[in-house]
Amino acid sequence: MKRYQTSGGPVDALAGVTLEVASGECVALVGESGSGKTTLLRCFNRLVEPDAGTILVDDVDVRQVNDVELRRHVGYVLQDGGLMPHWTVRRNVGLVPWLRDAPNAATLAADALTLVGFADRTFDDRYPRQLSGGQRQRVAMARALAAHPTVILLDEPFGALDAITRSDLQEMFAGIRKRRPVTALLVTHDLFEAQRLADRIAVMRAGRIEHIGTPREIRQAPATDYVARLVERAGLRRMEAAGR
Amino acid sequence: MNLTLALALAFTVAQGVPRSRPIIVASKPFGESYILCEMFAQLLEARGFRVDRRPGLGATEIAFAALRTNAIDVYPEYTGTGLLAILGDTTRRSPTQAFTRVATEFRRQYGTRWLPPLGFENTYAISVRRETATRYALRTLSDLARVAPTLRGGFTADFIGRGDGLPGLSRSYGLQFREVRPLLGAVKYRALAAGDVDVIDGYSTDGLIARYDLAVLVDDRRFFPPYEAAALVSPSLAADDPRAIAVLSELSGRIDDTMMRGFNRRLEVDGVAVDVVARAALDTLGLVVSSTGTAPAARSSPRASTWNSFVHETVDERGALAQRTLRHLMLTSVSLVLAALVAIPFGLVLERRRRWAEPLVRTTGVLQTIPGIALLAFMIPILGIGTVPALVALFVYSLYPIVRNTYSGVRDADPVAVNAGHALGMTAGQVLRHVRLPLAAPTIMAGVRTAAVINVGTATLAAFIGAGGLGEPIVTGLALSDTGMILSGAIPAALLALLVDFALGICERAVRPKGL
Repeated sequence: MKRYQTSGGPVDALAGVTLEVASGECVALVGESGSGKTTLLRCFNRLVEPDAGTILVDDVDVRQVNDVELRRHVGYVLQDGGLMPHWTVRRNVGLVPWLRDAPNAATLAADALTLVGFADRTFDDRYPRQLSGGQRQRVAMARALAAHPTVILLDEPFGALDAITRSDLQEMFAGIRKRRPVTALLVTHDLFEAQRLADRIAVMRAGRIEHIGTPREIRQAPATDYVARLVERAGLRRMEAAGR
Repeated sequence: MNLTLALALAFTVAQGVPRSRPIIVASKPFGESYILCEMFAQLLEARGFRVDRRPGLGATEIAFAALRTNAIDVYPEYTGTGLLAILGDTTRRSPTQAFTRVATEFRRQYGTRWLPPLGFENTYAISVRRETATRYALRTLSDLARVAPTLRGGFTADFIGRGDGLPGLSRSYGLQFREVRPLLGAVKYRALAAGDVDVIDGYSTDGLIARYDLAVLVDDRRFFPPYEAAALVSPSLAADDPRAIAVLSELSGRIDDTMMRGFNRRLEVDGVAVDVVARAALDTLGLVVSSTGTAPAARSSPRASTWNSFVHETVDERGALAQRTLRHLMLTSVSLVLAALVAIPFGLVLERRRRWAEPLVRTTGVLQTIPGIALLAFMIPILGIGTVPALVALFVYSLYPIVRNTYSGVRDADPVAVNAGHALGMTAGQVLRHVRLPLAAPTIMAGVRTAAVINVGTATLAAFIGAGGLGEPIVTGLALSDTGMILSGAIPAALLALLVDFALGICERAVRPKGL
């Protein structure tokens, strides 16, 4: 069991948020811009330091861990990929194993590339500029997973892609979770994506969690009017009515 | 190897000087000063002294600062300049009184010594075209005051600014020109001849007054002080070498106005080389008898055209040209490498100390705005003249573009990549070294390139403090009004700048990381 909790600071980007994520579970943080979902995500690898409250990973307070060391053990996928433009695909994916001085860094990078569908190694020596948006995002995913982290944080990983590519990558991500179990926290503004990928969904609004539950619970018994409107707008009810 | 050379020179300059070194004979940057300098040098050599020549030092401030600090040993100076420009004494005096005054005061205040005057006076000669003089019936400066409001003056900046120059003259005669333009010494005669201006400040012994057939107006109120020429000697030479003083004194009282005007004409009008003019002069005075008949006449033909003179300097003297180019390249590259070694780490440190960054970057920018000649003049008391102060000045001028580009380059390096580095567990140092620095490399290199091109241009100023390089023919050419000679320095300098820009452009592409 993992237990994460933060509570309000002076600016109250987040206020009284309590969130527990089980090992191997995927929780989606859904909400509009400014709802605090990315801030909450960044508390987990200490890119944001809460003014009050605690964040525990495996019952250890993250503030007890050196921040740089912590980040090397938590996978992270940035919204726009965030690949190093001057590094090859191989070097990008090998970044975290290299930082951790892993003796088998090359193997780890190769495995991760296989995991995201680049088994044939044709992309190893390319630079990010030479890849499509979807390919870049696959590489970013491989980079986050290369060092076998137990926890992975994803910040709108598929946000900037066209609908078909996004769907492909969502499918890939679901496949990866089956092969390599990992606790995942996924930030998205897309409730449809959330219900497709996550075990549970936390709907956030103005720094608070409005409703947390399984996709089915969110669809069928939205806790507040806001959640209901969100479900309505995403067209999830209709899909359900259509027999999904 | 250039660095060791520079350091070795630094030591020579810094150590107290035992008299085993050659006597350094210098001049200010105009023809007459060159001739006298060369005469001093040849006379000393003929009497068995070793001599080092440093002609064409910046101006009064630079030459005198160098002399006072023993960076040079002797140069020709004028009593009026010593009185007004150095002592700031405006009391009206006879030539003898003026000499007594400077001789006493210079010895007391600076330890420098005036040898007895050479025998001629070279005062300001306010001149107009012959045709202007006839049209307005001008003979004296009082006559000029009548018609000045319809005339345009073209004077050296020095003359316009000095209290004993134009402002004092205007007050004394009630002069009021229609327009006053600052002109470089070398171009004012041509500007006058071409009719761009109507009145200039010439020197009474100038060869060019005869060349352009100008009318010199009489100073009927005796505004200008006496400008007797004499050898001015450094404290160290005055104290340590009475024999050298005796040799230099052989020239005292030997050169009169007519004679000096003749030497100047040979140099400035006939285009005879300085060493030839000086040798002939010493021969005429019976001080040095040329053993091998006439000396190798470098250029004893009548004044060459600009083209001929340019060809002479670049083809016949190609060895000297190559040497100057190499020296120019040495000055530029040593100062640039040192600047890069300091400025790049400095720029990187600033990225980690953002609060201090802008003020400090701007401070290096302010250094950039100090005029070259002023910076060189400041440094003479500390560093003397020659290579070391030139390198220091060029170093100072190279800092800003490199610091600015390094700091901005690493600060503005792809923020997405920088964030990703942090988020995945790179330390700040790793982000700097592996992300910011490689991404900023082309920007940093562009800064180095800018500094290099500026440096090639600025290094021509090094000639004003005797550091050589391609500025040498420019300074000499300006002094002798020899366009071909000026071009023989300016054109190679421009080509060198293009070449350096091109070469560093290749470096800039080479450091651009693949994938960008």
